[in-house]
Amino acid sequence: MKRWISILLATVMIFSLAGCQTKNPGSDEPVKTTGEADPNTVYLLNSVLSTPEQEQAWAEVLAAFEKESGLKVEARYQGTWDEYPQILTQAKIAQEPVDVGVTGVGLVQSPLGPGGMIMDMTDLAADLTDRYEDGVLDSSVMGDRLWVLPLADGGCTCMLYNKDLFEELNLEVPKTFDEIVEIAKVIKEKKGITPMMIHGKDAWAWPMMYFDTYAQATGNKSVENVEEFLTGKKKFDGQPERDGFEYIKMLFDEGVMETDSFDTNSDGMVAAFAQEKVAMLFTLDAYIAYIHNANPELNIGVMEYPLMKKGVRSEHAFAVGDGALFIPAFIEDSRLDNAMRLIEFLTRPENADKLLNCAGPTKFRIMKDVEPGHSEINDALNELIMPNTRIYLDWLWPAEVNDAFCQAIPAVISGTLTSQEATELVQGAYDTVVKEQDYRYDWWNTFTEEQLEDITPDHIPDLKQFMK
Amino acid sequence: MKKSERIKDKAFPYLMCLPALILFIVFVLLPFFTGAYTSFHKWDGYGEMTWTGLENYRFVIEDDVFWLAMKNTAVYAVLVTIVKNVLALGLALLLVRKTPGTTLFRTGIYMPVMMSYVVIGILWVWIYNPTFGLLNKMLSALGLDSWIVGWLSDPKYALLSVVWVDIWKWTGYHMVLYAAGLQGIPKTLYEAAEMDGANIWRRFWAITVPQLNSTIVVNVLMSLTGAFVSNYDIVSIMTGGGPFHKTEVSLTYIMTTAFKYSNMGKASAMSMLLFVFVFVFGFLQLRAMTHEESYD
Repeated sequence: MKRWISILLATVMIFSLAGCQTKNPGSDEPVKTTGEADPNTVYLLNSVLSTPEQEQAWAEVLAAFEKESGLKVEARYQGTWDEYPQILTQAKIAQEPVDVGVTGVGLVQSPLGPGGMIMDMTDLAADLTDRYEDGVLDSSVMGDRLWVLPLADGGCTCMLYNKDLFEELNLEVPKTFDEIVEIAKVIKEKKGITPMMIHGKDAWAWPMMYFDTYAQATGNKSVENVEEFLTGKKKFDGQPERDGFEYIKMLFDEGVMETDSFDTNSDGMVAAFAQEKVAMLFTLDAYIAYIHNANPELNIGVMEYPLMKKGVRSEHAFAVGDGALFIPAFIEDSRLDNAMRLIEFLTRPENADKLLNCAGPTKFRIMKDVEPGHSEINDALNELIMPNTRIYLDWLWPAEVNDAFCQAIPAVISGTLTSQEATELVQGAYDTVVKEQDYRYDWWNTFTEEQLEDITPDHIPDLKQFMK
Repeated sequence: MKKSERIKDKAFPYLMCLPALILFIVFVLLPFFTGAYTSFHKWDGYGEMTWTGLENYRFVIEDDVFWLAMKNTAVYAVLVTIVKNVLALGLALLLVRKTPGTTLFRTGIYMPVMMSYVVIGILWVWIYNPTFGLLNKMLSALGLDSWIVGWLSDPKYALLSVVWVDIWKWTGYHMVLYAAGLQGIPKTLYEAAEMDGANIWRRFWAITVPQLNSTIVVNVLMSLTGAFVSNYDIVSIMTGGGPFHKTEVSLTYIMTTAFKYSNMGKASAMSMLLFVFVFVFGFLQLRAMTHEESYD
């Protein structure tokens, strides 16, 4: 008897294991396969939303879509934004239906675009592009094709300063390198605090600084230079490339920045600035909200990166689309109409307004009829920073090259590498990725006939009938 | 006994092993052989695999960062293994005695074992922080300002700082194993040695160490293989492999290559080489440290 009970238990265990399958988070229903996909349901795959306000806004907008269209939306929120390529790949392999995806534009250049995972939206979204402000879709267009439609606030690199502290010490906002060096001396002498900081413990923060110094070093032609480098037309070994590193090192050599930047992550940076232990920050505009939450009394000012040489202008990195709508290349043609209908609905001004402004007013004007929030700091970002911006360079270059910058910049500052060696490291990373992975910057020109067929929609749904 | 019953009797133990065998095949053998298969292909994790033979292994051998990561891994493993075991044995020798407060200390030393690497990593990043960190504040309060360094940013100290956190986390675990081993040593051996005039040092080398041999082997093997194959979380959280790859270990580099660089083939080749390395290292260590009579 015992023997049969044992066998029974073992069998139950094996069948339980065999029965393991992915379940839809928040639902008792197992995830369907493409063959089982309901024709009257639109399947949305997004990353996990970070705030309850976002969850509520998405729930409301999707409910409104269901009411208007009579279709059902099955939304899955899974993983973080950087895990999205893996999650989408898993969905494809498991044949789970995904009609509309939400991802970061930065992931299109690598790996979603070259991997043939997303559909060319140029014709699909032709009727929707007018909804966007001029220039907002620039970073979503690669190889003359539109791949995604952004549905997120913009983001930029910028410098922040403690306005009250500057007023107390009678300091003018520095515009040049010499001025910031003088100001740093005063701040250290009078207050004994760190003049300027970057959250260098987060390795990815260092290349952001290079975006701005390289812009000046190249005479405001950083994107053109990077494109020539990535297409193999030039080596990354010229004077501008070295100067990009040197301009950062100069701030440390002259005491404007100190070694505490190496050990400070974004939380530490926010805390240090909010507690007035640092006078200036080089950071992303996204951290303004965190600083404000940490110390609502703090008077934050926005300033441009100081000019490191004559004859150039200060330029910052800017892009839109940390959450952008796209159609997976593996969607069935019969599902395209409903998928585009959902995208049309989500990008309608009244719905986009809800989704964009749910976690607080947007800082930048993304869509023509969606008003950003107005505040002194938002206006400063729009007036001072926005007119002089270029795309984030790490959205252009491959991850290996970006990592080389992450390692090289602190190494140059600390004297472990010279700027010449740093440029060689970057060039080496590029050469490696070309050799090992056949990297091509213009991946859109490398598609085979079959791949082109996959990323090209078989028909273009008529969205005008739904547009209000 | 009938023939059919004899077959049933023979088959029954195998049947009972089947669930464990299935788990082992699905979650260990299958991924291992898939990894080995992938290592001979170029694959970005999204598109089609392309057969490239031994090319990925050539790329790995030519990759300076991989060898730096392997060197760091070896340094990490050796340091962690030695310091952790010496400390754990020392603490076990102290705390195995029945003196007041022993349980409190034992519990306190064991507590980090129960915390996740994520919690510990974040905790120690803050302790090491140059602006707010407890460590530099403490050194400053003690007048040791010249000792203040960027614990995680200075290439000279970064790896040691991470190694210390691993030691801090696991010493309590090994201490418990050593304490259990110590309690199993017959007291009569010490009494006889004392009567023969052996001092404490002599008793330690002549009785404690040989009697603890099997415990030492298990502890060293666990520390060594653990340090080789489970240091990803702590390094990833505390330094991400920086500064300038000075804390890069093989696992962080494999993960970066696979999921950040989307180079699954090369990452698989690295994993295979790491497996061979750990297998040989573990085998040699086991052979060198075990004596058959100790397991009687």
